[in-house]
Amino acid sequence: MPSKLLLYAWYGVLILLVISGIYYLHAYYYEYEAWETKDIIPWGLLVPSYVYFALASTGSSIINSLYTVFGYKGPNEGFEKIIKHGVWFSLITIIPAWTMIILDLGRPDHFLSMLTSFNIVSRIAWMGVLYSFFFLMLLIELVYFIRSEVNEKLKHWKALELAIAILVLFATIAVHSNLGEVFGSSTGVPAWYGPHVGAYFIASAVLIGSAWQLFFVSIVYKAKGGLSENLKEFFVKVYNKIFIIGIPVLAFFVIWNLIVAYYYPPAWEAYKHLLYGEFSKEFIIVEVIIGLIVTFIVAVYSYIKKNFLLTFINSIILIIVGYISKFDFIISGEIARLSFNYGGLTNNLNPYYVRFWPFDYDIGLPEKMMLVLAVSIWLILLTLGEQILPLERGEKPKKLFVFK
Amino acid sequence: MARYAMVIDIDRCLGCQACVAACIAENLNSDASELEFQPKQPFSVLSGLLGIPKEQVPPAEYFVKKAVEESDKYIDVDPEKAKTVAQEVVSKLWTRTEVFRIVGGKYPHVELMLYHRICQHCDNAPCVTVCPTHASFQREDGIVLVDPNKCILCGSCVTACPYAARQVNLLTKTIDKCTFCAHRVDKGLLPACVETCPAHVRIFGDLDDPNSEVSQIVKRHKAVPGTPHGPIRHTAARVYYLPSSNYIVDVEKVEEEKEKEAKLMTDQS
Repeated sequence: MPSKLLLYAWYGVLILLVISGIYYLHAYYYEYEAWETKDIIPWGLLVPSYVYFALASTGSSIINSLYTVFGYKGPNEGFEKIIKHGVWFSLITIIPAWTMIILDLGRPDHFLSMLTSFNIVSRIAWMGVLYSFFFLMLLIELVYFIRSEVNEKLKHWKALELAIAILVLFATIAVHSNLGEVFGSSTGVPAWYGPHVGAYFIASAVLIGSAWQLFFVSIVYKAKGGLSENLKEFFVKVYNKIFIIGIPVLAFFVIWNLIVAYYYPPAWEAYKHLLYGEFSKEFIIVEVIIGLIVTFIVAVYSYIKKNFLLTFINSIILIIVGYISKFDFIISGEIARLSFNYGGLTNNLNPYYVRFWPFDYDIGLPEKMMLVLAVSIWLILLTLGEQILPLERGEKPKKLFVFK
Repeated sequence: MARYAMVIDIDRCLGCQACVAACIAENLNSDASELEFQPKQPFSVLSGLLGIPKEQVPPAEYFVKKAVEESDKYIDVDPEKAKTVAQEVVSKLWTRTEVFRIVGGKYPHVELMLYHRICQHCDNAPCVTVCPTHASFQREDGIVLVDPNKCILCGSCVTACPYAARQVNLLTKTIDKCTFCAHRVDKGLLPACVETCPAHVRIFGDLDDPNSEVSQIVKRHKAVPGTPHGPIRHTAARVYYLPSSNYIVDVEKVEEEKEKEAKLMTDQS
């Protein structure tokens, strides 16, 4: 463990950030600037951020399923060692996603309507149900893993373990597909419309989730002074393989998104913003060159050379690129629907173009502070869990009654 | 059961904006409008929890004040810009329908059109499908409405609408859109914009009634739903536009025709 002072400083900074976020709540909800672009870019900063954390959580859960469902322990039984950390990460990372999406609602005080007036054909209505199911199943899985350390009967009840794990994987895939279809069914945003978003999100989630898991678990073990060579070897061998397979799969979806859009001008408009417009540097340099090419080369190199440091750095790159790519994908789609001119009056007409274009997208400080608020709450919970919960292999619960 | 629809004859439009003014006069803060859907004070629960006095909830005057503040920045430098800024801020208050004067092309190939933006009350309304709380719903007569008391303002209907017909009502902080003046239609009256229009541009009626003016026009003329160029998505829009014969003004072509006519006249004489 790091010195207590460092830990207190960490908590202190996070609590200060939470307080600053709460301070900006008033401005976020009441000031005119916070509302004037709501009908132009309805899904601003907080929605891509929500998607990112949802993907990190579900992606990490897919990686966990390699061990929990398919029984793959990895070299040096690495998965068995880190599985509880992985489940904890998946469980708690859904919290910032929830926080952000609730903060993004204009009228959270009407939230009860989601239950009292449930629309069965609405994808967003199902998000609440599926996230709750996903969270509940992960919670059950974590409690099972912790309790089985003190309960021999439970430890050898493999059928139960598998049943829980399958339900978690089912919930993960259901959440993903539904999240993809929330965007895929947006008939007003041509760049998102279609069935491809779900598949693109799953491919992204595997990379984002595995990168976060590697980064998070390595930091935890480093802080606790136990990042052994065995564990490093496990990370290098398993996570690099995931990157080597996952990056080309993601590249496949990015290329096909691009090709499909090319044949449909309103969707291609979004890629014009990504290829030549305001997002071009982020898309070409960050997402394609760094995010797909460099990370792939580094993954292959560090796998061959068995270099943990490079693998660790690669995971940080994937974490950052993952956020930027989701932000650009979502925001460029929204901007494209405003900017697309169907060939002027003689050919066709885009009501959004007529109504809103030209438009400059500018994120206000209160909105940024909501992101800070959600992330700070997440980091506090993540750290607290690592301190309180018995997440090491063979570690018996001491502090919480429910695990005894 | 009636199936209401609207036809917009662009050729007749003067661009006087009387329809927009009538919409504001009829609906904004009017006791007559949507009595059954009067929402509670925005953020009443949240305001209570955070200890924020209710007076801080932005009333209409707040935006008017804001418009004055913003336009004051330009009043000495550029009075025209000041006017535009003020209009922009105030227009955010109420945008259920708008008329845009679109000018394109380059002289002598000038393009001009008055485009009426309004909710299409689609038969397959994607906004109704995506709404998680049934806040957006469709009546049996096809009119699509929003119940502000159920709206969580998630924005999904805004991303679903291909016609830019939805916006945030800054007073209720919920989604807002054209209602075809449902409260008037229920009393057998026409929507305010239709009744006010001096040139009979907007025609409203029952599409299922073969004798209604709307049915006759849709049948007899080549009225197209969605936009003046046809639908954007297959949502079965129920606002029809009569394609304009005049919105492409090719001056060169007109001159050529005139010359030909003049030549013909000379030859004949």
